[in-house]
Amino acid sequence: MDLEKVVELAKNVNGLEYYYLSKNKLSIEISNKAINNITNVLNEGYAFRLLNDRKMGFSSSNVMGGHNSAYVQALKLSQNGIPINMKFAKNTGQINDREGANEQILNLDINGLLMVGNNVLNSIYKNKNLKIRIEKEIIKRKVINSNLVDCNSEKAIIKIYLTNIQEGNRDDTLHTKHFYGNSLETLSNFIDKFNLQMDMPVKKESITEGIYDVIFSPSALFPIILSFAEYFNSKKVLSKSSKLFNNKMNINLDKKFNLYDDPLLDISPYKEKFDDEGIKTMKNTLIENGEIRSYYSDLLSLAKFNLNNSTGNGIRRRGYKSMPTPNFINLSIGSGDKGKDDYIRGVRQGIYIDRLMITDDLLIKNGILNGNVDLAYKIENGELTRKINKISIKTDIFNFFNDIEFSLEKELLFGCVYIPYTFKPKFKVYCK
Amino acid sequence: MLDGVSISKLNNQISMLQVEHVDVRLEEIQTEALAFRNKTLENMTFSYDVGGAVRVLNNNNQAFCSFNNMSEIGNVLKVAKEITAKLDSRNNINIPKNVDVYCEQDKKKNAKDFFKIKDVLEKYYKELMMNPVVKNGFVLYVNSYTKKTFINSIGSKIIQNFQDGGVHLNITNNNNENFDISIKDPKIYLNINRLKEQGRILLERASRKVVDSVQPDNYTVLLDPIIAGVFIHETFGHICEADNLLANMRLQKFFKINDKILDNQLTIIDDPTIPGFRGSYRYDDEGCRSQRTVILDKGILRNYLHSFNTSHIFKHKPTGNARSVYYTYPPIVRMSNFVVESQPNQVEETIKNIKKGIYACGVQSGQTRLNTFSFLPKDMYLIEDGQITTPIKPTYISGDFFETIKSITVHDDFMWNMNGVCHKGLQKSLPIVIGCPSIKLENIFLGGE
Repeated sequence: MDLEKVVELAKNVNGLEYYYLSKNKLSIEISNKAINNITNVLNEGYAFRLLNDRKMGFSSSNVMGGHNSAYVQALKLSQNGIPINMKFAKNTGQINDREGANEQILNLDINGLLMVGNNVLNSIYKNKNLKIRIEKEIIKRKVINSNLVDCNSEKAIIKIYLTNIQEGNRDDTLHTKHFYGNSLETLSNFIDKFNLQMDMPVKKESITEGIYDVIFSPSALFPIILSFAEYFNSKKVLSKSSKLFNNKMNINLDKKFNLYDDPLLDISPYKEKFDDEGIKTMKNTLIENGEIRSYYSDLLSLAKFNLNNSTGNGIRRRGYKSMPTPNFINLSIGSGDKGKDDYIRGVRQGIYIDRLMITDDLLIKNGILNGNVDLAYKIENGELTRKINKISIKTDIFNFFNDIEFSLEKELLFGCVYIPYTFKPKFKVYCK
Repeated sequence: MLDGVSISKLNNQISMLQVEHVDVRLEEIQTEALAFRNKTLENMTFSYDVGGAVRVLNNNNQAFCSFNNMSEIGNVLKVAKEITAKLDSRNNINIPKNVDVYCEQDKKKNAKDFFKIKDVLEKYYKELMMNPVVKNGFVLYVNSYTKKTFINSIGSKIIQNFQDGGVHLNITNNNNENFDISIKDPKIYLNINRLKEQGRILLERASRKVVDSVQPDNYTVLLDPIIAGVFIHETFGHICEADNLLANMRLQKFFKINDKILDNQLTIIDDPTIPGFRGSYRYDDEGCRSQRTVILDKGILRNYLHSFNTSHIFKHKPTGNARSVYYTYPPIVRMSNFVVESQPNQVEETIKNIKKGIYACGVQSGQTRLNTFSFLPKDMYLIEDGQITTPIKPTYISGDFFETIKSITVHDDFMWNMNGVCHKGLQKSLPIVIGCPSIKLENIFLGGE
């Protein structure tokens, strides 16, 4: 499907958009030095959104010769479809983005991936009982519409998941780290971090429930910030169901808190020049010095409220089969000016939380966050001394981001969340 | 579209490959979805997908490749064969011995007009939004048909049809509290009174003012059949999936076949052969005939749940529990219709004998990790001096499974939960059914802030 064909099909309707997504994933798993599994998965498909007399029809398929029947389905649905006064993206023109398609990654075949995987395993000096999954994913994306928008992108992403295999003891710590990138340049940092993690204390201790100075690693902060980011979703903001944008709530965020959605973040393998609706992306400041500045949006959710200035955050979370919905692209928290180790050194009695499990449940929607601490360490006189088990946290998500400090160094998680270590003084920790 | 794939040509390609064993799974999936939110139709989508996956066994190794271009099957088979040459010899499977031929009628042929379904649900949504309790409401309807065609190199050909979906209702009340309910029945629009009844229950919960919280303490907790079933499925059920046991040597030592592993009469069965249930199938996604599997018989561990792969490793018979949520995923060991058998204990008697306890109903969310569990019920009530009294704000029920299971009481009020979905790894929302009676747990710490 090309621009000419889209324009031709759009002649008898008010607007037509064609979206194409292809993901080709080659994945290898090595455990105990043996190649355990190799899979090659291709998943490609496309969708039409069609505007007809203030109604929208949507249809998707993966039958590559079946464009016409998918178009007819969209046309049929538009006759009794979603009532909306919306216009598809215009002014974006033509974009051909291959910046993320690094030849070094594109050319990795099974042997190349095996070599990378084995090099990583050989660089972990302590525990040789490791499992590694290494994936190469090639993502091709197209957004074409009847307003002459013609955007194409190609990315090649390498993902590595490294785990020390559990010996079977129920209390054994399962260390897992992941690396997402579109080059292998920063792989050595990842290896160093995994080696450091293997050096962490293993002896366990229980603690008493109480108030502690707590440091959250980026991994531990990750589920919290993901839940928090949902409050900036234009669907929630405009329908007044986001508590963060409710003036009556009197929410105070720390002045040191700066939050951005930065689709053009250089370090991210998911760097995007256009969203899934063909809108040019831009850095969007969500919180500046503790003040709420903006939210992220897509064309569809704005159109429901007769607005049209999308921030370029229309993302099809579940691939070509789903309609675009507002979603962040690369979430980033501004750094502080003190290093993580300085924070640890400054704590006399505290806790370092490295991993947290939070369920996306109804309590989070109400602003209350419950988390089971999966991995944590005791801090005594500026040093991590013992592993702690059976603790949990419960906090109001808005209060969490008051009285908080962030470290200088940041980590990129799952390729799209770039966040620092977090120092939270006098924080209640519960025992299970 | 799959009719365009020539099975005889495919069989030729398979025999030309000259490998130990091949199976090919082809899927045709049609999904319709509707969503109403913010007083309007928010989403109305139609999708049609075809795709497939091959598994090639060669040199004692197994390779998996998926595709969605039917003309590519030949190439994909070759790639899979090449991959088997690179693997280390530790990935073998039990090769099926029986040739099975089975062909089911296409369920999609009886599909109702999508617009008519939309009209029925739109009318109900408007009615729901008129209720003064509702500040905002969300109604999602999904109807999905899947036709699965399975063939293998020994000549089996199995065609099965599945339909799944249903309605999810979510409402926000005037205190900004959320309440939701799922009815996993894609034909619910034909029985609007049933939908309204479920909506009425939801509205009742949303209008109830619950102010009391549980006082921190150890409690006897009575789980209703819904949360009890999810509790046993998530904890014990997943441990008995052989691939999970393989990943944990220590658990294998505790979970030995024919050992009395629990000092009680707990009996647990997995049964995909029950006709017409969401977790039912005649053949699993490896073409293995489904069967009723007794996992635990009065506290004695009788079977693990198996795929061809895990049954080979454990040297057990396969149980027909290899399932895949979508053609891009390989089949893995999953539960189907999961049953916890009743025991002759009356729940009313149990309640009478609880001096201070909690009655927990439904499940909002939950998580398990090895032996630890944590569940948030939808509703909670105090039990005081033998009676269910005040509703309280739901709080997490957490603990160590192996400690908790020692002192459970299983009752006689068996109930089916037809709305189950199961998540495992990346394979989410697999249709399952859980049947279970109420279960009493002892010494559960609840509370805190």
